[in-house]
Amino acid sequence: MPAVPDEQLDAFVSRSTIEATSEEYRILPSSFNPEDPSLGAITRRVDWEWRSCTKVLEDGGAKGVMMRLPAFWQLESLLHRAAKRAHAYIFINDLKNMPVGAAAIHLAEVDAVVSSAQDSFEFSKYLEKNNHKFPRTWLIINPIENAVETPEPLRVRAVHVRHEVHAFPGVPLLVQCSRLSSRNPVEFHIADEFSSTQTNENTWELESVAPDLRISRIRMQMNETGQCECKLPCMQLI
Amino acid sequence: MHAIDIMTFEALQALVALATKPGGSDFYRSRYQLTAPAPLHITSIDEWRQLPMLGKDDFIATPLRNRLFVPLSEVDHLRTSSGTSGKPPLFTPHTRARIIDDRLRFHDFNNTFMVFTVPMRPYWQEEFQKKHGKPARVIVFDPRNPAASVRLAQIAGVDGFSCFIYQVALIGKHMKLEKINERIRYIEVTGELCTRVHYDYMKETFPNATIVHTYGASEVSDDIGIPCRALDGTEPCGVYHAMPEYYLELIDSTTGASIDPAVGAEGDLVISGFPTDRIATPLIRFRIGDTARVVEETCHQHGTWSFTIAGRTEMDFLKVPGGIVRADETIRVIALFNDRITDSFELHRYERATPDGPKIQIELRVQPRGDTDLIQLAENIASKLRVGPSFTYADGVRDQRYLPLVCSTFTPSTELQKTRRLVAH
Repeated sequence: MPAVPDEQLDAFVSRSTIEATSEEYRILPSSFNPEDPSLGAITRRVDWEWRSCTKVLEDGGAKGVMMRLPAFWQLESLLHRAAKRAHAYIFINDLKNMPVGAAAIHLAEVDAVVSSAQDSFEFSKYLEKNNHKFPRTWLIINPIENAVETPEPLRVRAVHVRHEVHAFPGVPLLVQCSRLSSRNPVEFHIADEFSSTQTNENTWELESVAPDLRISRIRMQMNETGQCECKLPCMQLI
Repeated sequence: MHAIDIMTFEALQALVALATKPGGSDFYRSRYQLTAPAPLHITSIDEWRQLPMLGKDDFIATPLRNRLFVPLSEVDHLRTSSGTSGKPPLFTPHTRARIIDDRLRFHDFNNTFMVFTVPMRPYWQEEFQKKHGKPARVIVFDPRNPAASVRLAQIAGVDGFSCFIYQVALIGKHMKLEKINERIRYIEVTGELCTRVHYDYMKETFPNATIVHTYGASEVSDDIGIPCRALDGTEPCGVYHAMPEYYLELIDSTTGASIDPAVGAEGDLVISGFPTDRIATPLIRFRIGDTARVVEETCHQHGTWSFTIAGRTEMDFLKVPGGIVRADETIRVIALFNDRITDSFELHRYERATPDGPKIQIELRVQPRGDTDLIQLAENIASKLRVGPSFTYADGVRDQRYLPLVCSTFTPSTELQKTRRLVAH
C-alpha cells in the first residue's frame, strides 16, 4: 500500500517543523517506525479530537480503556480526551508489562484496548496463552504500510474489534462503523477528514479536508464494495 | 505533642465524615466497624490518632468498585504500581489531573515540555500549562524508543523534562546526540534517591538546568510533598513540605505512636488528603512505606514542617530501572545454587559512573562453600534473578541498563535483621 508521496511528506514535515514551535499545534511523529532515519514531526491543531476513537468506545459502552500504543507515537493525550468524551477512564500499560495489562482487565474493569496492529497479535496471544479474560472492545491502529488483519484469538472470541488505518500516528485515513467491524474481509469507510477520488479501477487518491493537515495524493489500492447501512461507501483494501 | 491548628482539625473532621457517610462506599465504614446510620464524627486529635492506618495491602484486597467514592464514570484515569513486587498490582483510580502550581517557582514553562508518563501524564502537563496561560505542548518520552522521542523533543523546542532518576542518563545520551542538552533549563526527577553520582552527571550534562526532586506515589492524586528548593547536591533527596490539601504525620514504624516533627526526627510517613473536590478514594492515615526525616520545624517559605525521605521503612526490595530486585526472589535463586553457597546473603545496590551516565550495579554478598568461582556464580545468578515479570537481571545487562552483577564474600552479622540485608548506597 503506498504511503504519502515522499516529496509531499518532506514538505509536510518541513512545514510541521515550523509549526512545531507554535502553541496552536500538537506534535506527532511522521513515521510509525522509531528507527526511520527520516523521522520528523507532523502537527495537528491542539484542539483536534480523535472522534473516531470516541465513537468506538461509545459504541462498545467502554468503562475503562487501556492504551497499548508505543509512547513515542504521542497519542496518549488524544486517547485520554477521546476516552473522556466517552465517559471512560484511561489506563496506560507498558507494552512489555503484559501481566499488569491482563490484571487491569481482570481487576480494574478495563473493558477496551487501543493497540497497534503488532501489539494486537502479541497481547491477544498472551491473554489466550495464559487463559486471561479478554476485553469487550479492541481498537487496532494499523500503519498505512501494513496489511490489515484481525488476530486469531480476537476472531474466535466475541471481542468487538475495530480497525483504523492511519497515515501517521494520529491521522486516521480509514475507519470502521459498528456495522463494518463485524465483516470479513475487513472493510472501511474513508475518514471524514479526507475526500477521495478514484483514479483508475482499483486506485483511489485521498486528500485531507482538515485545515491543519493539507496532505493530498495518498494513493490507496481498494475496491468500493457497496454502501453500508450507515449510508457511507464501503471500501475494501486490496 | 505537636499542636494542630483548628482549621486543619476541621478539615480532618470533614474528611472522616465524608469517607464514612452512609450510602456511599463501605471502605472506611467497615474498617472503623461503624454500624450506626451516621458518619463518624471525631472530636479530638486523639480520636483521629486512634483511627486505624491503611496500607497498600488494604487497597489491593478491596475490589476497585468497593473503594470508589464517586461513580465509575467520573474516574479519569488509573495509575498502578509496577506489578513486580510479587503482589497483585494495585490499580488506583483518580478523578483529576495532578497539577502542582508551585512548579512555576522553578521554571517558566514557556516552551514545549517533555514528560515520562508514569510520574507526569502528558495531559496533566498540558492542563497545567494551559491553566497558567502557557502553550499546552508536550512530548512524551518513550524509554523504549528514546532516540525517536528526543528527536521530536529537538524539533519541538523542548527546554525541560520530567522523568524518573534512572532515565536521566538515557535522556542525556540522546540529548547530547541531538545537541540539545545545554538547552535544558529545568529537570524534574522523581522515584529514587538522587545519589551524588547522578547529581554530578546531571550538572555536567545539563549545565543550565535547575534540578528539582519531586515526591509522589501512584496511590496519591497529587504530589505528596512540594519541593522547598531545588537540588544543590548536598542532599540525596529533595526537601519537601506538605501540600495544603494533605495532612502528614510521622509515626513510629513499630509501635504506631505519633512522633513530633522536631528537627532530625524520623518516622514512617502517614498521609491523609482533604476532600477539596470529588476524590475517587479519600486517603485517611495511609502508610506510604517511606521513612521521612524532619529537616525544619517551620519551613521559611511555607510555614509547615519540612522533611526529606530517608528510605523505605521496611525494605524488602531494591529498585532498579524497569523493575525491582526482591529479597524473596533472591532467596529463591540462591537456593538453586546451594551446592556452591549458603543461604545467607546481603544485596547492595550501587550507582556507578560510566561513560553513558550513571548505571546500577548489584553486588550480592554470599558465603561460598569450598572453592566457588564467584565470577561464574554471578553470571549464573544474574540469568535466573527476575527483576520484572518476564525480565532477568542478565536481560538488563544485555540491554545495557545495568552493570554486571558481582558476587563477593561476607561474614553474616548477627545484628543484621532480615530487612537490613538489602542496602541502597
